[in-house]
Amino acid sequence: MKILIIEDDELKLEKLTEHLNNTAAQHTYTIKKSLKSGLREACLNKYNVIILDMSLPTFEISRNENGGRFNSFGGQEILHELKRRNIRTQSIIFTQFESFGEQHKEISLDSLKLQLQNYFTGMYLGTVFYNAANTDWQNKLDELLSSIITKECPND
Amino acid sequence: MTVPGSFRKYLLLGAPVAQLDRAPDYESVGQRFESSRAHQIFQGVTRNGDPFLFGPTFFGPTLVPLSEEGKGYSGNAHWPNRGSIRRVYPSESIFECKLIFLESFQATANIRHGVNNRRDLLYTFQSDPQITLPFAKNDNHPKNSNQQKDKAIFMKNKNKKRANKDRGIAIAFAQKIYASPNQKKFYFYDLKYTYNPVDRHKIINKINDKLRLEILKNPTPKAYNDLKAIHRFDSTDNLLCEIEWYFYEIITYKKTITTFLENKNLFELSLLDGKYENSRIYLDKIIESCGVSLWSLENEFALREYSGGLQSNLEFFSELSSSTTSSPWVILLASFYSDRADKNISPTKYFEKVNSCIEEFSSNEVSRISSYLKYKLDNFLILKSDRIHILQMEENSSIIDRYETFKAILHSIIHKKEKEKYEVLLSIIKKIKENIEDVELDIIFACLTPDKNNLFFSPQTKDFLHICDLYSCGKYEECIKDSFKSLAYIGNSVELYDLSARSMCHLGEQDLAFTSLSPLQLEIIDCLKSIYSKDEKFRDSFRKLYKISLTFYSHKWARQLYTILISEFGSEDNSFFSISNLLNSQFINPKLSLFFNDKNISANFLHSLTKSFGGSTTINFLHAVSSGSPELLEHPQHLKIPHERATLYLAKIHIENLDYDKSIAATLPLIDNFKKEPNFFYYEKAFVLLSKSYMKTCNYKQLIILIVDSYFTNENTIRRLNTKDIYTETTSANSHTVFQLCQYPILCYISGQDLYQQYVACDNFLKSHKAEVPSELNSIVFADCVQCYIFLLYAVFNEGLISKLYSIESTEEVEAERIKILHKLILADPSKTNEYIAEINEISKRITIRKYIQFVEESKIHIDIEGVKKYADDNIKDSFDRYHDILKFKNPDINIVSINRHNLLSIEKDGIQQLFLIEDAKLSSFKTLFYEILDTMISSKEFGLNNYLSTRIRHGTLSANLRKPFDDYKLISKIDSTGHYAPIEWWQKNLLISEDEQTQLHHFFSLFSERIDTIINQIKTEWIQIKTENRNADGLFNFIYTNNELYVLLIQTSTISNWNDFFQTISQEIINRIKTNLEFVRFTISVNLKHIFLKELTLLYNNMQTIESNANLTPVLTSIISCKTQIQTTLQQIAYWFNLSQDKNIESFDLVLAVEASLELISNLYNRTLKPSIHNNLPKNFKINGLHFNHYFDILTIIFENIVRHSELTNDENEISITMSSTASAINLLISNKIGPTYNHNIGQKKISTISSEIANQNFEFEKTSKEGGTGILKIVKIIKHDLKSTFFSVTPALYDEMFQISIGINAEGLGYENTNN
Repeated sequence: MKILIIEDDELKLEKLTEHLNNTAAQHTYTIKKSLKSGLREACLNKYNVIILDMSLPTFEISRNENGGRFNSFGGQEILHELKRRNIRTQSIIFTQFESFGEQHKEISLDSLKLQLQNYFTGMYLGTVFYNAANTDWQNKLDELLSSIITKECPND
Repeated sequence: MTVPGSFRKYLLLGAPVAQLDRAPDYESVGQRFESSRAHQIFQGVTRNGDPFLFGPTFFGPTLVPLSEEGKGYSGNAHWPNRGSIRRVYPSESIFECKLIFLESFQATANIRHGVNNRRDLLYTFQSDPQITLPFAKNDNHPKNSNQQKDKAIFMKNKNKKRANKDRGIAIAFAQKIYASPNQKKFYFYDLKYTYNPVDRHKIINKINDKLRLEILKNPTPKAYNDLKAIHRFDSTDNLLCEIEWYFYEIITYKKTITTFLENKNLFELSLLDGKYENSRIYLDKIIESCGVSLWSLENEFALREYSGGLQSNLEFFSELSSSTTSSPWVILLASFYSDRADKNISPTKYFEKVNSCIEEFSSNEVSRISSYLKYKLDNFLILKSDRIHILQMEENSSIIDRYETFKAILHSIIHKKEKEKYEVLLSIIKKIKENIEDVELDIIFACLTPDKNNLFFSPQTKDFLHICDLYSCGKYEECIKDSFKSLAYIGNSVELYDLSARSMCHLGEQDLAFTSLSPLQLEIIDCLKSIYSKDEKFRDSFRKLYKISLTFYSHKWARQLYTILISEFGSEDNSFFSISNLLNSQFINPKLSLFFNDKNISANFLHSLTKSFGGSTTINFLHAVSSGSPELLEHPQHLKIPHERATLYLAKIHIENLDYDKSIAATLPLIDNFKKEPNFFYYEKAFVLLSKSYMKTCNYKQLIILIVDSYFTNENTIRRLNTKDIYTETTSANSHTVFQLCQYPILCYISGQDLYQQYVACDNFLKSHKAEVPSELNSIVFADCVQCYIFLLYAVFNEGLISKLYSIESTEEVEAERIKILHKLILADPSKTNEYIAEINEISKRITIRKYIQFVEESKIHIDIEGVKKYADDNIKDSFDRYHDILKFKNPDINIVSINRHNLLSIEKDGIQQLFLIEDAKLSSFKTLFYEILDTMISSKEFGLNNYLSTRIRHGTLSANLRKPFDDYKLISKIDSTGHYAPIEWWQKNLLISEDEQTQLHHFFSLFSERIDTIINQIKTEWIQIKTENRNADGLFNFIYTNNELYVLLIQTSTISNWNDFFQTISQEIINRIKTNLEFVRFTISVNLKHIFLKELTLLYNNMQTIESNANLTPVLTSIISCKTQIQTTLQQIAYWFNLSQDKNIESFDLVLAVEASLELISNLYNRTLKPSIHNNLPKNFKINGLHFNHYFDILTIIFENIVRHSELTNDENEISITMSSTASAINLLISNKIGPTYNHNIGQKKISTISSEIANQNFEFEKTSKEGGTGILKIVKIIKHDLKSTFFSVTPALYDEMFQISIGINAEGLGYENTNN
């Protein structure tokens, strides 16, 4: 399965790829670490699934780039933009936060799930809550991935 | 039953152990309850002697068993912190105030929950509105007028027998209560809802004062301690039933209310008039005759703020809040009333506070509290679902508050036009009107009564009609004059202010100095005028009026003012506010005719007006408008009203008749006219009507053009329109014609959509013009809308938006695109060239500063190989000559070394491991030579690696960078003067947790801070150190060479006879070792250190989860998780530092920009706001050779870092003055900064004098510069003398009373600075 991972947290990424490598299914994945690079990749190439973090920097952080503005709802923005561009790649939100945004704009993970479910029907597969302390997230991820394994892979 | 999250723990914490313990005493002994209460006070459980679990004292412990059903609190298992019960004083935070209140409320609610079945059983019939109000249907009800008469006669001629009978009923009731005091609540409930009104009245009249007070809940409290002090008891959810009870209370206290109304009016007038002494008298009179109330509380704050200023306001609040017996409700509301009156607290700030308080109570279980708070503090728009809650919560306020709330509820019913309730309400109002004279009741009555022919209008209505006529006929000057005259006696009539302001809009500037109006009244008129004319004071006026309307929130005129603001500013449905304006009037306003929505009723109403006062232009005009027929307005000359007004109303009627084309045809000419001869009063009205018509006819193109055009004409004219909705609707039409308009993304921008939506609009726009970025737009296409094109490029395509564009992939690209846009703007709008060039310079400066910082970060690890070589030529070359001579020795027996385990080498030879003596004269000599070079490269204070590690990494920078992510996410604190880690203020302020939990939180943060600081210190003092055989065993820069390695090196170099080649080979070997070390350091930081920090963060996270109310710690947990991501990025960035600097240099640099770059670096690093004032006296275009950039930057960074770290100033006080100047041969820097009051001058002076004498010493020792943790001034000297090689220099630190100063003079000879002007 062709997977696009959009994740800026190195450790989370390490654990995620480690898990994907350990699963029996054959996965190939591409990694992007920012909203813009992830979005471009999702637009330019076809993937069976996108696993994306919710909070992302605008640009990929490097020695010469501080990442620009940090987007608390970057993952959601990617989904909005894909939907607007009629790219309906199925997506899994992979997050370690239980709430997003700040103060009056704060929203719980459960409310966010509901919003995503309602607004991105057909695109949004589910949310995996990452917690390094246990393996629940791996089971949940496997479960969500297995729901698409059977489907036909799109051609590049 | 659940409690809102953040307060749940309070309930548990403050669990009423005392009550539960004492409960059996009360049940069995009855009278011992008082002793329980005393016990509770002693324990600090209650505030005013009431056992708060039970609310009313009679909510007895027999109810406790209810909890066995799982609905109440049972057993001590629910109260885990018995020992933590604490007295919460009102002077503490508002949340604690809420807590206490909640405690009592919650307890009451809990009990109520348990008794629902009983209540339902007893009073099921009450839910039927048809029988809820027995008096409305029941002939025995006293509200029936005949019955009332009978009752009066009966009362007058009562005989003894009847009197005895009455007393008998009361006695029977009282006996029931005394027999079962714990059932008191049910009997009261019974009395309130099921007794027939006559019997109920008899009982209430005859029972003793104490019981009566409990039933009526002290309607006239004498002091604020008594206000809302008696707990409410259960109420029904039936609105009319509650209204009936209010009616009963109002009638009972009709005299009090009448006194209140009389004095209230005088109070309001005198306040508006600025006669505060009179206001004081009237307010005192109200308090004396009617008792205190929430109304009086609110007005006390308003009066004090206006008469005595903030001090007086706060004195009163302090007085109230220091009373330990006040109801928490009173303190809670008082704190908001105080804020509301406080002239320095903006409405926005006030509402932020209110909303966050309301949110706390928004869950279903306590929604009645949020409903009540909304009504009391937010605005007077009462939702249908809130009404019953408000009535229930107001039940134990003063009769004055109950009366005001009663009317507010009626307003809400009228607004919703709930006609099914009108009949009942009419009978109530009629009855009250018979007893109380209140114009508000007259207006309510006028709204409710179907018979509009028999209305009674006051003389004020007549006066107002006259003034309205003047305005309607365009006689504006007379209108102003007469309005002012009337304001002298009905100064609280907003209609008059309104008409004056409107008239002034037509007349232009008016001199109001002659008027006898008070400053407040003049301010109201002036602000209204600004709002209506949409002038430059619009926003300011809005804020002022908003504040005034909030300060006097309980005054009807202030509410009217508020409704005007809503209708002029708000784009939401404001029908409530329109009717509310009329309902809060001081007289029946003829405009009420427009409210009825029924031509006949309106006609009757107007007819009634004509009957009372004769014909009137206003009445005719209103008749024309309310009839909805355009014909009457098509000939305005008959109506004698100005053509423009008639046309506007005509357009409105066309819209109501769904004839949009006609409306457009009517308004378009007006728009053009009012634009040519600016009259924004009319323009705005025409604009709103035209927009509405375009919207209805889906003419989106014209609509968007109109809105943006109006925005450019006068941005205040579009405020009434809901541009957000318009943008959404026009976008969903997905029309290429719309997307192509350059007004389209502008509409999105001005409507305040979020950045993503703005991007969508811009993307649609760019695509429709086949462009990827705005700089690709062809300006010729926009020739007919240049203004829009300029605005679009300048305001809409800002850097934030550019960063969203699909093709933009980095910050650099964002800046480059913005610069391209600015160049396009220079061409399109040459008049603002300077502005655009200034922005280009600003961006260029930012890019340069970033380049400087990046350069500095990349060159932290540096070896001055040229310096080392020069030094070696002078000092080491001799050793090489000697070594070279030794190499030529033929006799191997000349042994100058002793044998030890270190100079034995184990080598496999011929398959056998053999031991060789390797250290002979050659090796020994080589080692000496090698270590001399190594020492110079690594440890020399002038050129060595360690020197750069010290200055550029260990001197604050590393610690600050490592601490930064923890600091940014508020996870780490600093050691305070007591030597302990201080609590983190942010969480203290922003987490709603108990003191115990705060203590736990602080404990965990302290542990964490200590561990992180220890780790950071270890990294600095042990890891980032040069490791040799004798020093720094944990140092990551390992320069231990084994004999094997040296031997190999000796063999490799033995054939080199030339010193330069030899130096080159050895130095390259050392550089290779440095590179290997650096790779290891990078790995250690980005991998090992990452895991150490992540482990610590995980530990902190786990610790936080052990805190009981961890549900309220979500922000802390979120911070920890975010920090986990951030720390990885930070470590990655720090790891980058550990690369050997490249041999590249900045060509030449601007000293001012270097200063700014250094300031930015330090400011970011320490999260401090630095306030520099830079005085650049350098020649224009002064540049310094880029070779010296790092050295200058080091000097500046040391100084600024010292300021941040040692001057003991708060974040806002970091004022730094930097003066730069130059002479033909020197560059001078004078940097001074303030020092904090806690700075120890004695120590400072001592340090400075030591440093000064060190500097003055001709034999300045570089060894001194290696001392870390100091001021770094000696390091500066070293940099100037040796890195910059300045032959003459001066470094003069000085300490004054409140200022530290350092003056630096650098001999610039040979520094290659350029002055392109010279």
